[in-house]
Amino acid sequence: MAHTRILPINSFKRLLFLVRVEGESLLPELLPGRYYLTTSLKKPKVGSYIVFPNPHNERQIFIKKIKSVKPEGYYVSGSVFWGTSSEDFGLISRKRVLGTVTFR
Amino acid sequence: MNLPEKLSKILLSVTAEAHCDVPCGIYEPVQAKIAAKTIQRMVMQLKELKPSDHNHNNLAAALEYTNAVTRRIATKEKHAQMCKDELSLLWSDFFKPEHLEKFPDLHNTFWQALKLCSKNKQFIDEEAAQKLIAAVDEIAKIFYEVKNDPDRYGSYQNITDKLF
Repeated sequence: MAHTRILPINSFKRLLFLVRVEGESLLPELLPGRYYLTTSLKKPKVGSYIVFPNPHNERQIFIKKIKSVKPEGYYVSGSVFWGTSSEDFGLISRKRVLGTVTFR
Repeated sequence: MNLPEKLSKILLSVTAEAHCDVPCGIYEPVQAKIAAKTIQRMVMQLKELKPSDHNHNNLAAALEYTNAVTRRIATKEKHAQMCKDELSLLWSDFFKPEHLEKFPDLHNTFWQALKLCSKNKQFIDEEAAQKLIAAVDEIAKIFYEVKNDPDRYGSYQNITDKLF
């Protein structure tokens, strides 16, 4: 849980930033230790990887894959069945999304 | 170096967790306790073993005795290492820095327990064996509290205190 920094909210830097993945729950699509270009301009859709603060701990930044889009928000999970998902922390509302991975 | 890595010098970067959150491994202090209890059992048996014949001319009896002692010492050594490995796994993989806030003596607790594993390798010492069991129990208690399931400590004790 070290290395986690909160992105400055409303900063222009959020338009385009890099996310470094830590952990293995998105293997094999996203590799731990790699950087991925992320933007807040792109509208996420099913299959997108989104970056957001953990609803249970705002200091922690998560990256997960969108499995389905519901009126209340995104249902997200990892690629592996044992990872945490919206089942554990709920749907992610659109306004909580910091960015969508745009280049990998 | 891929494009995002090249951009890492000019763009803001953030680390995002794709951890499983539920541990990828299965952590449980019972194995460490079983190993500690095995050490205690071996120490008790070693203290009870007596050479059947002090006459060194009786080679067969001397060999039997040496074999019985050696097997128990080997088992003690093996389980002291197993206990050390199990505790090290909990220390390095299960416990996280935030747990230190609630259990500030955590590092010292593990350090002392691991040292007791070594002491049980070095000596045939009932007190050291009992101290190791107590140290594992202390870690188990913390473990179940961190898991938000303190009642499981009772089940842990029920199983591991009745092994012999």
